[in-house]
Amino acid sequence: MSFNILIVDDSNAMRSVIRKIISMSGFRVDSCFEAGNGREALSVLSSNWVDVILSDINMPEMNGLEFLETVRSHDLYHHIPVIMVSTEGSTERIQEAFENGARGFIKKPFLPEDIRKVLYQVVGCQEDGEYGGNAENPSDSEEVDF
Amino acid sequence: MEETQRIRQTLKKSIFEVFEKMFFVFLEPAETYPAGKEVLKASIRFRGPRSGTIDLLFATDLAMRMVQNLLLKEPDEMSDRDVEDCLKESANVVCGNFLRLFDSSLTFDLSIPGFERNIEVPGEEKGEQAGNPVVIHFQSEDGGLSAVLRETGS
Repeated sequence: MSFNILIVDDSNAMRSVIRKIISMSGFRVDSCFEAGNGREALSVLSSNWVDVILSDINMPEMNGLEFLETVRSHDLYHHIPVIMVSTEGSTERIQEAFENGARGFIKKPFLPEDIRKVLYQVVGCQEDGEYGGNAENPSDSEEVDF
Repeated sequence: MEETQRIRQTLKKSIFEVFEKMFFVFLEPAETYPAGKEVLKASIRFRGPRSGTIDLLFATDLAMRMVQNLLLKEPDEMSDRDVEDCLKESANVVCGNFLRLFDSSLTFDLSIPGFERNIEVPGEEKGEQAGNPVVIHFQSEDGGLSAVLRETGS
């Protein structure tokens, strides 16, 4: 099984790093879409099938938490797991993200294996690519502190 | 002064951590601002229970090394945009990491980072006075880095 991924970050460099990490991790990717903020990401979602989203928080126009809220309340997108990837790691901000439906939280700076670990956990997929979990189970949610 | 010392130690720890983990650059303490043909600056503001700015000043060669290590690009493949993007992201991550290490129970809003080329390095007399701003200098194999944290009140 392979996945369509959407990376949302206003830093072109960070999008490129995350894309490379995912491609080198062995995670099976069909298409990897990118967006520079929440508004652009909604536009990508409107015309593409996406299985999992990795989103920054601090972005212009529409930030990651606003984007998360919009995705969660949308009839067509609410099932898509969203993993926050951010420098903003206060206890309150992380809690806010999970309360708004984030399925994982990765704090920058991160190591490549951090992205891989959370990605596999959130999509309920074993590292051999076998689909083996319930992605909607809240206990799958993962916060990683590095 | 204890508070200033804690800010200084936390900022130093944040910078060491970010540069090693994200850019594979190993820094050592230094005494002066970066020198060289051009000094680049990335800045970010934070607002919350405490507010202020963090400026990072980079020697050009260090900036190039950071891009090379982060994006796996050779110098002739790098664009100005790559350099700007990497340095802005470094300010973003250093600031977020610093605030989290300082007190993870406090929540701050961060600005979108800014970037400037060819900046004039402050004279030492404009350096740290009574703990604000906090100024820390570093050196690496590829040139210097300085961090200036200026509190502007809450």
